[in-house]
Amino acid sequence: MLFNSLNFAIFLPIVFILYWFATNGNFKLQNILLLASSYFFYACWDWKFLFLLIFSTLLDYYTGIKIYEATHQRKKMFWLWLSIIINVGFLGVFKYYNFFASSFAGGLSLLGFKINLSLLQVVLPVGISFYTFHGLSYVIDLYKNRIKPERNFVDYSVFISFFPLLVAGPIERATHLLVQINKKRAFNYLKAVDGLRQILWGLFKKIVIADHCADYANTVFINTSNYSGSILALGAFFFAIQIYCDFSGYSDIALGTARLFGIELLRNFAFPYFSRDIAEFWRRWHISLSSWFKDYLYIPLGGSKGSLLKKLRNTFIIFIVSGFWHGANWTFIVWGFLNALYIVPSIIFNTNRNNIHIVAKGKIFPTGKEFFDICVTFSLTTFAWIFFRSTDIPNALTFISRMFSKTIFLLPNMDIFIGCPLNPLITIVFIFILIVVEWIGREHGYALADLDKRYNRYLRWFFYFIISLSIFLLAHKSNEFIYFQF
Amino acid sequence: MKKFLIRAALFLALIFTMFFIIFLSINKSLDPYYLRFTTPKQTSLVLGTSKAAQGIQPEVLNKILGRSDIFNYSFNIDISPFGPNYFNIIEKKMDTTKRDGIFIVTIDPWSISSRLDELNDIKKFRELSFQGHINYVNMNPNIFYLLLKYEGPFLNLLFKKNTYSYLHNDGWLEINVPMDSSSIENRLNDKIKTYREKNLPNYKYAEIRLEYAIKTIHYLKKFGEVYLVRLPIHPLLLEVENQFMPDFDSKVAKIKSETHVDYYDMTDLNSKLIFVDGNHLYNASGKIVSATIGEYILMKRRTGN
Repeated sequence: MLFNSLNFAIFLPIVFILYWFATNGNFKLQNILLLASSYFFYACWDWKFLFLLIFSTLLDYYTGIKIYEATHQRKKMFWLWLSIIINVGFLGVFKYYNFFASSFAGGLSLLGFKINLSLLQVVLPVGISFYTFHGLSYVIDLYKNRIKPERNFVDYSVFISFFPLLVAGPIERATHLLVQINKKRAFNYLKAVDGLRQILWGLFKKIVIADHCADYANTVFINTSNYSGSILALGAFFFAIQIYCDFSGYSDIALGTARLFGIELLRNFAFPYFSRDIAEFWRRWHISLSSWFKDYLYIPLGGSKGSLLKKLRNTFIIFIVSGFWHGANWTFIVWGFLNALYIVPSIIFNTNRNNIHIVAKGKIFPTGKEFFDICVTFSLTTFAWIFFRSTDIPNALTFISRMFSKTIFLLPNMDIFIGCPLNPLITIVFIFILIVVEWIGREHGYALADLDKRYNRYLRWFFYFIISLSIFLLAHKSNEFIYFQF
Repeated sequence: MKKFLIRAALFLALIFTMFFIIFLSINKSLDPYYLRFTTPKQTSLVLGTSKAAQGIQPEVLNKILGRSDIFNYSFNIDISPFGPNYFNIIEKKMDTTKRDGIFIVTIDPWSISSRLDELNDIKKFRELSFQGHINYVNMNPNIFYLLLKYEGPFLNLLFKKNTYSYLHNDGWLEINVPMDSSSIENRLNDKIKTYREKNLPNYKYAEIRLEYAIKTIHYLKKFGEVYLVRLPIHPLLLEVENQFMPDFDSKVAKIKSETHVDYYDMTDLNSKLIFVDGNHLYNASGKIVSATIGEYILMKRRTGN
């Protein structure tokens, strides 16, 4: 069930009505309802993988209690590693086995040995990377004595499986989400309206922009060798916009949906394309994953403490692991490596925390320097996205070598997009609207947050109406969200 | 909560009203199928695949036969081969109060064939993916079609100037593509390649489709005169068809013997006509073919055999 589908448009109001009216405000009943709805939501993809989700939930629930109850450090360690090995083992089998097997066989063939390793013919269970990380953060936090174990299995299961975040995050922490699940939630009109507004904005980003940019980007990336440098650059630009609108659109819908149930999820995006350097970009892009890696990998490795060499080593490790988390392909590893490389100068010159505050705060326009920095940062990230989007490394290198040829100065021939459902010029107009709205709203939680404090009712309703109209007129065949595959 | 629900309902009401107005404003001719699912029930139909959809012009037929009710209800090879689904939407489209209709049922080897391993497994027929959700075929605006079947942005049905295809009110699908000799040759070669490499190895005759062709004709005969027609095709594609189903004529003979329907094989005209891609008739040739079918019907009526 996709967030941008008719099924979800029917599912969500039903759960909402039952949640607030049929449970009589009893939060235990509400949690049971949320769990049942979440399992139904997940089963709509593939009911068989529901058992894997339930097993993973049971495992972390049980090991969590065992870690807490263990009196000796060695026992605590045993239960922690049991959970980590099984969780990562599942991830390894479903997500990485084929990659390692084929890389291993490829490596041996270079040395003259031919081996035939059989590959698994299984689909990747939706959301496995996300719910595995939920569970891991829980047991690690228990081991570090940051939290106490959750004894109520239903509450713990809701923490792992809450449907708005189940398939693509944000990656939550027990300290943030579990405490909300344990408490009674009261309906709040302003929060509910804000939730709907965030859902609307997420749908706009996904349907009006991301899905159409996907058509243009696919056209270019599928047939790289046929196009001029300018078309390839345009394709890379469209992909950069697609992935932002797709994933941040998804996150907006997830956060907005959770808010309808009185639950606040972690913020996942903070206008990353307005960043002035790469370090700032990574503080604003997929925040819940970045902070997960920071807390559970970077800091345990020593973080930014120690020698410069150690700092650089830790940085490369988390970026490469982060790249690998996205998928079992060398393209993701190179993408992570490239981002680490981008960040090296700011670590060496200790400038990685130069741009902590919101760009041009309180001003209408950025300064010339700020604008220049934003453009450079956007170009660097767009360049790295080429690896992320390409099917393999040779394909990415062909793309780059053709893009940086003389033909980059040619006017792009837009006729290649003639088979796409929408004229790209219309999409470019909407991208411009997106940039303006996000720029105006950049000091808030998301672009339309607190709109009721900024504009009068008639203007607001008119705006919602136009957004809804755009979504309706420009929607075409539902596409999955990119991050569902991770 | 009450305030929230009232305002949400008000907003939704506004939005749904707007959606409905948009659906009413849609240019039904810009989608190759939509209009056919929005008209009222019909008394006279042209049936078949895309060859009939593009090749038979009801306006020409109506003029020759002195009628105004012939409606082209043909789709394409993936949507309207003979079978339970096409039969189902034909039944739903029929105005069963009249008994003087004209029905032109076109047939070719592909429309009685299947791509399945289990040839007669009707639960897996290719047309199910399209017709599976079409329960309403006479609704205007047809919300179900637009929401469940139409894949493009609605914006394209409001403003897009689609020069490639245009669906007329009588159901004829007009196609406008470059008709210079090299474009025609390229399309013909592509079509031959597709039919030889993709269709020939994958399609097989399906008995159940032939049975449904017979069932369809029996059903239509209750409401008027039925004519079975094999439309012209480029000689090179006819070769492929003959290779695919060399005993096609005997299959038609079975239909004739069971339904006593008149059969008009138009493949004698193949070399005299122009095709867009070898398979589909060019508009001017479609006009000739439609007129020829009209004359054939008049002749049959005059001679009575």
